[in-house]
Amino acid sequence: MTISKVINTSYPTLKDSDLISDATRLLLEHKHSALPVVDEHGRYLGIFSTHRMFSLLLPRAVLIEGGVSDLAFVSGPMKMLVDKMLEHGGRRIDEVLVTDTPVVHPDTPLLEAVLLLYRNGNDIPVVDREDGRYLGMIAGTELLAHVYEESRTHG
Amino acid sequence: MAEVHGMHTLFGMNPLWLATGIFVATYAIIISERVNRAIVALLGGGMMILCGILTQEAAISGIDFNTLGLLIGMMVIVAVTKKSGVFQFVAIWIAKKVKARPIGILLMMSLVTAVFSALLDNVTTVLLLTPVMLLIAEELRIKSYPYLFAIIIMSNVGGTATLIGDPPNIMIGSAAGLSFNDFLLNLAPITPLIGVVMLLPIWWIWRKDMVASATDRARVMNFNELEAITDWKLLKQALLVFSLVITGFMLHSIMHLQPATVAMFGAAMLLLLENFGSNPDLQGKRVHHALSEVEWVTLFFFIGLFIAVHGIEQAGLIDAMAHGLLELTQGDLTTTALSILWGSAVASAVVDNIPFVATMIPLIKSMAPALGGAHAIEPLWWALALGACLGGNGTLVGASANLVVAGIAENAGAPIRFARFLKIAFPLMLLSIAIAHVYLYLRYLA
Repeated sequence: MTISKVINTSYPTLKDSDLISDATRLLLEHKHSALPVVDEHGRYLGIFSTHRMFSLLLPRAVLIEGGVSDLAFVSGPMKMLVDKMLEHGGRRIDEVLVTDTPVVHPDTPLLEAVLLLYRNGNDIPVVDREDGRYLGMIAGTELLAHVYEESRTHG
Repeated sequence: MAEVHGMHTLFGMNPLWLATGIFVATYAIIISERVNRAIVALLGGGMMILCGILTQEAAISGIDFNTLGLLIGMMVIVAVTKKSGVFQFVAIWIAKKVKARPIGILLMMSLVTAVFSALLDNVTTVLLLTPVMLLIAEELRIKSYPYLFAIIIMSNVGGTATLIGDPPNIMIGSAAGLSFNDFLLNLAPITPLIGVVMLLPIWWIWRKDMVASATDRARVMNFNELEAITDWKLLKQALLVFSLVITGFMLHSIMHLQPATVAMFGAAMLLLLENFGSNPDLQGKRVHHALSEVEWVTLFFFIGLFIAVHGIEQAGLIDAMAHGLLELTQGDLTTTALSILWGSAVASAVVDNIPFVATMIPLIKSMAPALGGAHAIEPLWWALALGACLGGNGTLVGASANLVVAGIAENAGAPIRFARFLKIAFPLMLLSIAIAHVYLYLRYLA
């Protein structure tokens, strides 16, 4: 049993030259937590996600290892967040691309994909094993729905 | 001291040369930083035993458990205390006290760093203060560099002031039998002056960067420092134990207790208070966490070094070196003290001050008879402490705290570079040693 049945090919893709503000809008329009970034040949480059966006909105001092451990003492932070959003909006996606999240291949076993979704939290890109082409995404909700349907018919 | 006759060294080699060889190799590899320093020190200490310079019993007798116990005790106390959020509280509180003005923050952050470094170890102090300082600088949209620079300098100045402030002092106090109050009376008086003199150039060099707009300052003023305290009960327990421990340090020589006993007992008491009445599972987790926060790498580094130094001591190298140094200074206490001060400063800027002080301690001890006995050489201990602690400011690798700040700054995208740091820090370090020189001379040697 591989992941091939649950690959979603309808995710919009981002280009490395896209601006963060446009990418964020696309992310929100499609209600996804992560979008794939590809080059002009359709090769997978990395992920842009809400998780990455949050890291841009937060002060660096909390993100570093051994940094400030909580921010409960910061009151009225909306202006701070808005400022950060505006500050980063004009940057290119390739400056903030996340490249170290796991990827899967069409022949990846389903259970492995469940493990990666559990560990990663965000949706996971499917990439061709040979030429690195982007093929689609594995969405946590869809995989869960697939298992749920199976349990209804077999249970 | 040298019991050369009883030794059965490898291949019957000359124990002095064998021990010297092992020691020099250990030192060289530590300086090269190619292998983790704890591994090198443990191998060096081990070689002293394997090659027959020391028996295992002799090696263990060379380990200063008072130094280790004091370090462990304080590390456990801090590991528990910091969970309360008190260090973030203090940093935010002082920033607001000065209306989030950048120059005021420089002044107060320096003061807090110095005081915390005097009462806790420097590495812990900077580990706790640097992230909050980065956050404040980020919110004020000002360069963090001058502040991190000041934190480094002031942690080493503050650490100089007390017995427990910096590992060299712990080692010196333990080996020379100098009490917490001895350090307080002899070293603490000069450190405020050194601190102020260090701050003036820092302010002068970066004064143009220390400007923040009213809106940015308002953001910091909006911080609610009370929210930084995550556990009031633990905070109260920690403050109680901490004040008892400091009182214990002040009375330790009167009560005939070693500082390690005070620190370890305090650590155990704080763990008891924190865990009393909790279920066994939670107790296990908390105690495991507190003890795992102890910097075992540093402690094993100490253990290996103590053994290696004991090896050259037993083999007679320390006596020979002491003899040589006395010949150079012609047995004059003033010349000896000032040479130790400047020599330790430069050495500690270049190499880790812990192995340096570990070697100097038996060396100074063995010079005592020639210079008029244990009491007469007390100024030499102060010279060593001032030189080794303040010398750490000379370069980025001069003290562990410097590297810790640099590491955090690097992660936060505001790296501190070796050469840039050296250009200002080394002259500042020499200036601080010049002040210490005058102080030592006027107070003990004139």
